Amino acid sequence: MSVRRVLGTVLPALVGVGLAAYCAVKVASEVSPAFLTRRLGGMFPPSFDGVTLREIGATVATVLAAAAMGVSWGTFLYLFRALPREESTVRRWSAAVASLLARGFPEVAVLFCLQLFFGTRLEILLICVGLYTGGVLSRLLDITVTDDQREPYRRVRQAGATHAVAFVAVLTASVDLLLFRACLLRLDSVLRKVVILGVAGAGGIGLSLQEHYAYGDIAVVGGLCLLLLCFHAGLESLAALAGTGGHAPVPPTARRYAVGFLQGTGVLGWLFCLGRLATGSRPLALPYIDLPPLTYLGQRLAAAAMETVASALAAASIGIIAGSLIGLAASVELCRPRWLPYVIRLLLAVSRAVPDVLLVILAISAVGFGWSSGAVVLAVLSTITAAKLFADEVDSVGVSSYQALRALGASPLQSLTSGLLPQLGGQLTSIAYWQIEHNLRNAVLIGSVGAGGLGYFLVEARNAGSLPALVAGGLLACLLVGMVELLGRGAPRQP
Amino acid sequence: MPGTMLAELRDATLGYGRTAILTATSMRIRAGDRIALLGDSGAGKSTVLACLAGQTPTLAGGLTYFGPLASSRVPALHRPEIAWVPHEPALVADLYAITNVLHGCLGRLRLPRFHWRTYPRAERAAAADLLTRLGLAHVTHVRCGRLSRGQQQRVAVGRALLQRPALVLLDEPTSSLDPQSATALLRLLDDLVSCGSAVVLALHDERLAEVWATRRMRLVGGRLVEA
Repeated sequence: MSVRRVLGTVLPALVGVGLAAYCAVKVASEVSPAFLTRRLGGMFPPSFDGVTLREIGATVATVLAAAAMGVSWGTFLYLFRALPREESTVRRWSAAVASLLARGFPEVAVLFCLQLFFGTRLEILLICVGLYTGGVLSRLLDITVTDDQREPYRRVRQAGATHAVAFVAVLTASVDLLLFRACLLRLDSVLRKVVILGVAGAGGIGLSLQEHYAYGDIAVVGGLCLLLLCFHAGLESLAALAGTGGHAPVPPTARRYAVGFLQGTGVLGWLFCLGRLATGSRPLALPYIDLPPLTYLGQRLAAAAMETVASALAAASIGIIAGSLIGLAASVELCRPRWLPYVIRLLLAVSRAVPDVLLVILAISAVGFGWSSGAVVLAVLSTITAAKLFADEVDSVGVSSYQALRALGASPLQSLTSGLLPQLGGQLTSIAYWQIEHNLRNAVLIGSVGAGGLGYFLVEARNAGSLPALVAGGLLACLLVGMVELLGRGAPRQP
Repeated sequence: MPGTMLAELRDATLGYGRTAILTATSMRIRAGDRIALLGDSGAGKSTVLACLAGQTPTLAGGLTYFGPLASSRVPALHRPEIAWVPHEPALVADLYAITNVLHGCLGRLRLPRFHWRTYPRAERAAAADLLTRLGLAHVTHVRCGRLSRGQQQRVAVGRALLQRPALVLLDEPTSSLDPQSATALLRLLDDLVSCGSAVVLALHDERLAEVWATRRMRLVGGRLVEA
């Protein structure tokens, strides 16, 4: 069995089994507390009991439901936008705007807006994460689905079928594989969103994490992080088994059923959440409409936006430089000794699993409140993401030109700069734009938990109960994301 | 100097991994040699060239370098004195033809170069001259990804020749060329041989081998024999 297989599949699977065993022990201990004391002694910190199990269960369920809702929303957006390309410009543009709003309008702004109307409820968290995941997924599909894979749609349409029938034809013909992979990979970011939105006021494991840290209960914080890490490892393992890591792909029929299940669950999730909000026991309360003087609002918004843009750009530039160096070292094709890239990739995977919230809390402790702590967190996250993307790009481009230059006597540095980098220039630009866009969204989100910028502006607007300020902040963030996307359109290929 | 020993394969077993393709292979290469390696597809011509270039180790027996090849302190795999052009040229598709040819002189330069204009003037002139002699003057500033297979092969040969190597190993360099281009290429190789280098070509064309080579070696039944 190869090292790649062990590191990519077996190890995460073992961790997942460990997590399951741990949860089983926890359940047993709750049913019979004596079991824990008798059999396992003081293995688990006492303060861990009765606090987190329910929250962990709720978080796992929320992640799965939000992912399913995101898949259904993302597919709808993609199909609405991409497929009728030749037929209706209005539809294409309206879907593009909807997609941009879904991706660019900060989920934390959606959360606060909905909280003004409905209070703090789990459905709101689901809707926020579902909207965000759907927006990103539709963009991912837009980038990755090729014209060949759209062919079934054209054939069915030419035969006189309606859009709906043609959509189904495309779904069942080719998009399902991409969807399956994408939603598995998206689960990872959904988990992050659920945790950080929890800190921003949506409850769940995120809030628990923050409270325990505030009380100095480091053992519980560590335990929670470990559990999140296990969950993350389980997701990586699933993604690897689904064929995203070069392993044998899942049979098409199983994949199709899995996607169908996710789609169905997602649609049901939307119906459930919207139904609950519409018919909930809590009556709709109109928010306090407070329109501050436009100049004041403008000044605050401009200052907050500048902080957010500055932290996003600074973090992206640091992340790209550091990430490309680490990415070269994590390239299986390039790096020697052969085990080193696997170790680096494992470390990258582990560091991706550290909750953003914890990084924010640590950064605030080190640097203090404000956008600089956000920039530090974003720089760390950007480095990790860019390293992974860059390593994957190096492996997909291949190193034949690098080896050819080495063979004719060029030094390793010369071979890199003259042989490999010219081939990766486009991808590097593309990763940079992706990173800036991603950082802008993340800067708003982590700003809402104390790292300044637009995020903190939104928190203040929520506390003041000002819907116009919330919407203005959200739209400005959306505009910034749209601008970066427009600038990045010239890049050869998106990651 | 013509006649100086450059490399010797003695009773070598060649192959990949644990699979032996050629056994009891012996071969001596001297400065000024023009050697044609003949044989059917899959007979092992590329394997011999890769081994002589230091790309694949011998499974048994020895490969010894002499003279200018032995004096280098870097491993054979990375020696600019040995120019090896495999069947797949491995050019950088996003760069100009002249930049790819200029890569041949990187072994003589210390610092990395990011653009073809940053190479020394003399090297640029030499690269442009090589491209002209290979019949590629009109594609000097065309990206290699847009060139035909035959043109790419000639760019790769140009890159190898700019190394100013003592030993040139070319794997079927004329397979995608028209007769005129093939003749121009062989003329360039003749010039190189007259300067004291040795050239080993893997060829399918028996007639061309007869006309050009001073020594012909054939791969038959897993063995290398003088034809």
